[in-house]
This record gives sequence, C-alpha cells and structure tokens, in this order.
Amino acid sequence: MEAQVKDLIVCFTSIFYEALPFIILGSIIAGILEHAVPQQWITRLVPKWRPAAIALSCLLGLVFPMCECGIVPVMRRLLRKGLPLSCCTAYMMCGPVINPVVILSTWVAFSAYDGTEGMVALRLGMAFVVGFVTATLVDRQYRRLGNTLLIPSARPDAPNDNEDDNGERLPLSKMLGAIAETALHDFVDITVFLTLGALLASITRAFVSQQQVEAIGNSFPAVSILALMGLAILLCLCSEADAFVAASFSTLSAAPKLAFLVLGPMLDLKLVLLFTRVFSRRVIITIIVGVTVQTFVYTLIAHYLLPDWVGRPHIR
Amino acid sequence: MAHSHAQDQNYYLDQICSVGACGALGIIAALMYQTDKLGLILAPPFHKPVLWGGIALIVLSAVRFISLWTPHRAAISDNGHKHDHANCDHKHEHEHEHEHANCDHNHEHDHTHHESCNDHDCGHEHSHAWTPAKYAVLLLPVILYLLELPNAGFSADRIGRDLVATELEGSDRVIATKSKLTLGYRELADAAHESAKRAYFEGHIVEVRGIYMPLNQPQEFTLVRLNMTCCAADAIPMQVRIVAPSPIQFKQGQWIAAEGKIEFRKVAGKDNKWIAVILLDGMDNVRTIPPEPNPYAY
Repeated sequence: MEAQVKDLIVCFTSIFYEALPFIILGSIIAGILEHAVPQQWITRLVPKWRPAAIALSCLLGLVFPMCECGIVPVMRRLLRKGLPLSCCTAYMMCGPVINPVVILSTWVAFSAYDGTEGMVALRLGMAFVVGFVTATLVDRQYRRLGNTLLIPSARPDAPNDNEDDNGERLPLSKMLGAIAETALHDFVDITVFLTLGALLASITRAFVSQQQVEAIGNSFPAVSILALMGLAILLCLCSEADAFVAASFSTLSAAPKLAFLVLGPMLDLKLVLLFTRVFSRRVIITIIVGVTVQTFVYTLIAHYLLPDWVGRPHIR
Repeated sequence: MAHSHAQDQNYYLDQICSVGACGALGIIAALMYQTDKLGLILAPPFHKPVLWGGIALIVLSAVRFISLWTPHRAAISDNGHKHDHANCDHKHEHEHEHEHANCDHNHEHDHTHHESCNDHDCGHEHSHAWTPAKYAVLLLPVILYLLELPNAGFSADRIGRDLVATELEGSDRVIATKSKLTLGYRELADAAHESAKRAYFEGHIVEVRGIYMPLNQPQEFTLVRLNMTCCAADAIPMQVRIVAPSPIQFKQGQWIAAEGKIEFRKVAGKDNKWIAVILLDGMDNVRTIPPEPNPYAY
C-alpha cells in the first residue's frame, strides 16, 4: 500500500511539475494580453470569413507552439479581447498537435516503424479535421447563444483594463502590478484544476496497466480504438511525449495508436477540468462529443481503408 | 452593487492567500530543482523551465504583494471609512467613499466592476469570495515537498506491472567474442531494429545495470530501466534479457549489474522483431549493486 501511494505521488508530481512552467508562462502572457494589448486589436487580425479564420486557427500552432495546459489562460484572455470562440476552440484543439515540436516527436517515436510519414501525416490531418469540425459546431452554437457559452471572466464584453477612466494608459508601475494580479489570478484559477486533474489521472493510472490495455486492444478494431481513446483521456500525457507511449504498444495495430495520438492532446481528465475555467458546460459537452465521435469514426475508417499503412517495424 | 467592509476584508484575505500560495509554490519549484528531486520525475530538458517558472512565480508574488500593500497602507492611514482597490480603473456604487489606488479619485456611482480590479470570476458582479479550499489544493505540492516526497522513482511492483512478457525463439548459434563496449538500453534497443547494427554489435561484451525482474525460465531474467520522454507519467520500461549458464534468482526490484556477450534473438511468432540478449559467461559476471540514484535511461 505504501509503495502504491508513493507511485501515485511520483505520477502526480511528474504531471504537475511538467505542466507548471507552461501554466506560469501562459498566465504571464495572459496578464500582458489583458493589460498591454488594446481591446479589439485581436479582432482586426482575424479573417472575416469564419471558415478561413477557423482553418487558420487550426494551423496557428505551427507559428505559436503552446502545450495544451499553457494555452488555457492565454485563450481566456484572448476571448476577452475579442477572439471568436470558434477560433479559440480550433487553436485549443489543434495547437497541441499541429506544431513543430509534436511533429518532430511523433516522427522520432515512429521512426523504427514502416510508414513513419503516414503516421505523422494522418495524426496532423486527422487533428485538423477534428478540430475544424468541432470549432464549426461551436461556432454554430455561438451564433445562437452568444456569450452565454463562456464563463463570465472569459466574455469579450468585459471593460478594458489597460486604460484608466480618462482613456489614458496606465503608468508602467501600475500596469506591472495589474499584470501581476491578473497573472496570479489566472495561475491560481488554472493550477487548482491542474492539481485536481493530475491527482485524478494518477489515481486512475494506479489501477490501469499497459498490459491490460494491450489485452483489450487486441480484440475487435472498434474495441481497441475505444480502449486507446479511453486510455488517452485517463493518462493525461503531454502531446510531446504521447507518441513514444503509443509506439510502445508494440502488439497493437496502427489505428488505435492513431486514435490515442489524435484524441489525447484534445481531451483528457485534466483538460476537461481546465476547460471549466473558460467554457460553459454546453461548449464542453460539444467539444467532448465532437472530438470523441470524430476520432472514433475517422480512425475506424482509416483502419479499414488503409490496413497496412503504418505501425509495422522495419524489415531490414 | 454595494459592498461591505467584510467583503473587502475577504478580498484582501484572498489576495494575501494568493500571493502566499503562489510564492510558496515558486519557492518549492526552485527547491525541487536545487535539491535535484526533479531528476526522479522529469526528463532533464524540463528541469530548467521549472526553476525559471518558480523564479517567475516568486517575482510575480513580490510585485503583487507590493502593489497590494502600498495602497492598502495608505488606505489604513486615511480615514476609517475609505478603502482602495489596487489597479482598478472602474466605477462602483458604494454607500461610502472609496479611494481607488490607480485612478486617484473618489467615486460614488454605478457599478461597472471588472476582473482585474477584484480577483474573481464574475465579470460584472463581485463577491469578494475567499475560498480556502482552492488554496488547500494549491498547497498540496508544497506539503508533499515538506514530507520529502517523492523520494524515489516508481516501485518495482509498478515497473513489473507494465512489463510485457516476450517469448523468444531458441538459439544455438556460436557467436565469436569481440571487444568490450559501453552501451545503454537505448542503443541496444535501437541496434535490434537494424540488421547491419545487429551484425556489428553481436559478440561484443557489454555491462548492463538495471532493476531485476524474474522470468518464467529459471536461467533467464530481465533487467529494466525506464525510458522517460518528458515526465515519469510517460515512462515506459526498457528491458534487456539476461541468460545465465545456470538457474539464478534475486529479489524482484534488486539492482543488478550483468556483464556478458550480446546476442540478438528473434521474438517468437514475429518475423521482423528482435531484442538484445546478454549471455553470461559465468555466474561471476552478475552481481547485486546499490540502487542508482536515477532509475531512468536517457
């Protein structure tokens, strides 16, 4: 029992301290965005045609790579600055997958297998489609329900903080104080949920072994895809590392691994808790249903259409 | 919306708790780096970011404390019915006079309050709620550090649980002995993937150190180290199979050093999968060793 508790603490602290610097960075960026970036500045940069704006947001991670935890406080402040909810959703879904670090790590993890390029391309392509469709669904909801889809602190109708009552910018010393206040507020708000999410993931991991997952995963394709999707939600791995874990499931076929790689960065226990700091329950349900159903359907189709595309070790 | 002194007290209590908890977390993050505890849970590239993150938290907490304390002191020294809101630039409806630290004027008007003034999630309303539970959650890593946890990597039971038993094909090949090499788990695993590397490394003598895990065959066991990409949560076991000349047994989880000849054997039922096996020349080539401070293989 003592060993199990210590294992749980190792797992919890590892998830916590890995995410911590990114949450801090995200909170500082959030503070700067709130107090140093003019209101409506963001909206001028977003393309007017919404599908183009969503597609561009899906690919934003290529230029601004952020991990899934660090994105949350930044997105909350960008929403306040007028970033459309659909663009925010698209970046939150795709940013952790479609970025140079994750492309490289996926490539390295699967470099010992045939079809490395196929695995990387399918991961990126599928993440793009899943993110785009989910963001479009959220956009439709937003057109009907507006800002009620956001928690109050993420709503864009909040007044501007970087000017005083006369419309003049705050002096630097006061702005620094204000940035520190916002950064600490966001840090506390997000880190509480990160802590709970990491704790939940660690408790879950104490009861689920790799052998059990592989045993379930080696049954019917649909069951194996669902098993790996469930594992992605429970493990809460960061997107830079998950490809190595997926590659280690040596007895599984490629489709369940792909499901693990597409879903994990978009949805896990920790992320759902962090989402509650930005989105209303309705948006969270849309995201959960959107990404899980799409990932399942697309990877199942890939399994039957491209049975031998990837996943077998090199024959040399 | 009018608010009372009790609410303002809660606001300051909340802010002071926020500064205290964040400052404590920042210090603990820096201490985790300083005492090398991060080596147990994070891959080396993530150590420095934790340190810098900790320092940033300490600086943010200090800046916030100063910006909170300065106007608060001014307000206390002022008449008893004034209070101030650090960093705010907005309007309140109050039953009494306010001093707003960042706007240098007093108000008595409608409420258009927002978040940067008071720390809460209500946008246009404010509760001044102080929620001790969130700070209790936030202090969990601090408490764990004070209890000196974590103090080791994963237990042998946990590592053993994640091991997948691999059955190998038998081998009666005679392999010529070559020189001694220094190779790690990763190099051995990589070499198993390519026939050219297998041919090159086979026959070389190598010493492997790792955690002992028994196998079904009494003459064979496996040594394990964990391969961590980012953090311990993503660690996956890397194994090297050891074949001894006669039955051998240690306690599961014991650290072992074994020196022998490299042979690559095919995994039973798989045409293209090989793993490295170390053939011990004699029982003197295997010994128990003290646990290595870092259980991971980089």
